[in-house]
Amino acid sequence: MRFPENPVLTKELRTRMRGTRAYWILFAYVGLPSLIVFLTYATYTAFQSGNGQNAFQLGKVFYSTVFTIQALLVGIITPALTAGGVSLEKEQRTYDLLSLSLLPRRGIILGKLLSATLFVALLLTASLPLASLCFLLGGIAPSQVITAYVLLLSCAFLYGAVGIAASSVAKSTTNATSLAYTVILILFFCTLPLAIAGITGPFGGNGVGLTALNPIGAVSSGINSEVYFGLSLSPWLPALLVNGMLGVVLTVAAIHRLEYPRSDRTPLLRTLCAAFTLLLAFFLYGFTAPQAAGVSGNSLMAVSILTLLATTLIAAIFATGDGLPTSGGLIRLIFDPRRLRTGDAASGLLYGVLLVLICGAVLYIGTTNSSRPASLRLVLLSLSLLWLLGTLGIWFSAAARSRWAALTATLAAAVVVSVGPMCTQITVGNSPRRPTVLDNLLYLSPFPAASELSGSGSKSLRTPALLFQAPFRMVTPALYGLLGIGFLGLAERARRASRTVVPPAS
Amino acid sequence: MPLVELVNLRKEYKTLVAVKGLSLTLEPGDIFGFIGPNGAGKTTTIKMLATLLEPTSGIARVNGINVAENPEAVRSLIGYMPDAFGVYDDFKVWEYLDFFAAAYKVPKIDRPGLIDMALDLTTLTEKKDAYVDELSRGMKQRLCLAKTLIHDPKVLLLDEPASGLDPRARIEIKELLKELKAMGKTIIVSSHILPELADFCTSVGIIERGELIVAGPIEAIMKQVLGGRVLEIRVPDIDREKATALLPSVEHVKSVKRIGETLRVDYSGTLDDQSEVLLALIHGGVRVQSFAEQDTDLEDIFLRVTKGLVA
Ligand SMILES: Nc1ncnc2c1ncn2[C@@H]1O[C@H](COP(=O)(O)OP(=O)(O)O)[C@@H](O)[C@H]1O
Ligand SMILES: [Mg+2]
Repeated sequence: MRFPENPVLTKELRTRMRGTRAYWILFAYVGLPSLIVFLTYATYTAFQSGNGQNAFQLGKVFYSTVFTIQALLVGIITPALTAGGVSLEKEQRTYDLLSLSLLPRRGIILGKLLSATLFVALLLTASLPLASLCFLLGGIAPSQVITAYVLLLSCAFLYGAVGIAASSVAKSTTNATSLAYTVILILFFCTLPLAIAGITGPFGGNGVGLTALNPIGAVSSGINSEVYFGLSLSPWLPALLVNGMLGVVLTVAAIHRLEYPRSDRTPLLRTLCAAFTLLLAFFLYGFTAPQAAGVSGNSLMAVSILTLLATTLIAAIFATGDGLPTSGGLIRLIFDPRRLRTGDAASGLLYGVLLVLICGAVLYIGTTNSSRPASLRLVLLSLSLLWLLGTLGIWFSAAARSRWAALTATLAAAVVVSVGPMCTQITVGNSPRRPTVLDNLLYLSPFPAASELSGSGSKSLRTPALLFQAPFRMVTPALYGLLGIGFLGLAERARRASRTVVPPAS
Repeated sequence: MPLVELVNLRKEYKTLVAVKGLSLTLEPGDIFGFIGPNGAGKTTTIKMLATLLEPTSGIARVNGINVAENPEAVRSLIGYMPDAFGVYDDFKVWEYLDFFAAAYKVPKIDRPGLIDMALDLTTLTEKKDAYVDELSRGMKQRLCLAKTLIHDPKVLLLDEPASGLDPRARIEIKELLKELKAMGKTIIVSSHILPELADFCTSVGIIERGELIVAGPIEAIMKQVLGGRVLEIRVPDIDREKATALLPSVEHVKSVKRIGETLRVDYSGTLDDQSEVLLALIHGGVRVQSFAEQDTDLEDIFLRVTKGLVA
């Protein structure tokens, strides 16, 4: 079989190694870990008296040092390689000619991404001599080193995809670069607790999963195993699947973003996002959800927070867009299942429902019988939160007609709504706080409702000042439902207003 | 079937209509000069034809294929040279051409020959192994032309190919365009300066504020716009009054203007009738120093047509 030729890949590979820059990167990439390993060695020998056992120890220390530094370097270098992929071409005014050729859009994006990944592969290869030092000292299995390399490469792919997606979205390379690093930092710090838990041992008696998502965890926990819904897996597999899938989603999003003539890849993109949601739900619920071994209120809270967070993100990402279609009734635009194929804000709400239901199904099937009622209530609460934020997103999209403004505003509103009311409960000193009218704001936040999900939930938040003596888990969804209808009304008004602003074609 | 066909092509930006219902047809072998002041909508029109911009309404067809419906098929038929373009750093001239040849799916074995041919045509053969960013502006322009030729397109869309070049480089580009014309290519070439295009276009269109004011073969346009010839007559000072009084009564003379030393006469008669004017003057006792038909060129047409409209 012959590989189809990709001129962009050829070009990138050809020019990447020209000049001195590539060699400086290579030099720094090998030099920095070498230096640190040497210093580690120096400090180590200063404190230890040498014997055979210590060589093993030293091997392990070397291994984690070499690969942790590499993990950080991969995180720093890869996005810089791809974040200019599209935007730099536009800035240098080479993009028009490139996009006019018969190259398919995916060829452009994949060529750039692949060349960056291959360059990182070259860097990884250059670090082989250092890694082999660990073998020399012993204490490390070859499989550990191999998985570490594979996971680093998958991280390179993911970070490269983040860079290229940022590049296809942002107006300039500067923006693309800062966007890419921001996203990567968020990804890094969100997954870091899992990695640390994987290294130092699990928290609070429960198992921990997805420890290898973070590159730091990836290189250090190669020998543990993780249990998802009773299924025992080696950490590299979930990490490879989740990071790889996220990378694929971002790559397709980048291809989808390239402009006219745009081949609409919404169906593909939405299918991939649904698959990613399923994957993530399986792995995240797999170790946080109450298991047959014992129902724990603590883990139910963790599940609730995860689900509500996911719902917020789903609403903000999918139920926002650059304005709404101007023709057709708003209700039909939102609820017509055939419109799932389109990518606008209105159809995003129904798609969000689908994603939340996927999460709910995984949770319901995965948990024990005794926690199923609670998971059903959680799905209901999530759906109502999705309704609230989704309609809000649709309203913002219709009013602002800018995806990024709507997305930011929706996220900000979500934070205010969920965290704001909780702030009223802050007490100063030891004196018990007195109930006030402000306590009614608690109905707005999903968290009091979430704390009541398991039938025996705490009632500590219920104060005499509350208007309704029904549980939060009933009042909050009802309130969300009503507010959502109000937002839809506002969205319709904004849509009408924008329709009349458009100047008549003369 | 016309090779290029624009029907009521229109492009609206957010607040501005850049192209207002433009219609045009070109036959194979036509060289169409697209002339208009900056901001008239030339680039926008060419980009729509090049499948880079989506028309708001109207139809653009190349070889019968609708540009909006099947951009991929149109792309192999056209070679587009943008008004402002960049080149890749760290790329050699032959690599640049090879890259685009590959991007246009030219078979690998044909590429070296095609590259040499394109370099030869654009007289860049010596620069084959030079880095692209070391070329002079004129050479880059020629390299870009070489690039547009590499997949042997039927239609060339050249957006201000000579802008920003020194006179020598301009002439080189002009010579190159003449060669392309000889090769039988259909060319749309835009410019905001006329003399640049005058000698090799078969037809021209003048666009202003998104509207094609006049279009057609050069001679036809001259007739349409000027309605005839301009005669320049030089007479001594003392006879000038007499001549000015006498001329309007001569048949076919439409107007007489004094410009400095000369009298400028708009004349709508045929070439044979033209001598009647001289005869009338001499019979009237006017001493004629010189009598000549003014060279009317595109410049005049341009100035006349766009008079007062320039924003
Ligand atoms: N992307 C754009 N957005 C808004 N207005 C534009 C854009 N591109 C061009 N224009 C406007 O459209 C008009 C036509 O521009 P253009 O086609 O570039 O003219 P020309 O090539 O004849 O100089 C100008 O007034 C210009 O300001
Ligand atoms: Mg222009």
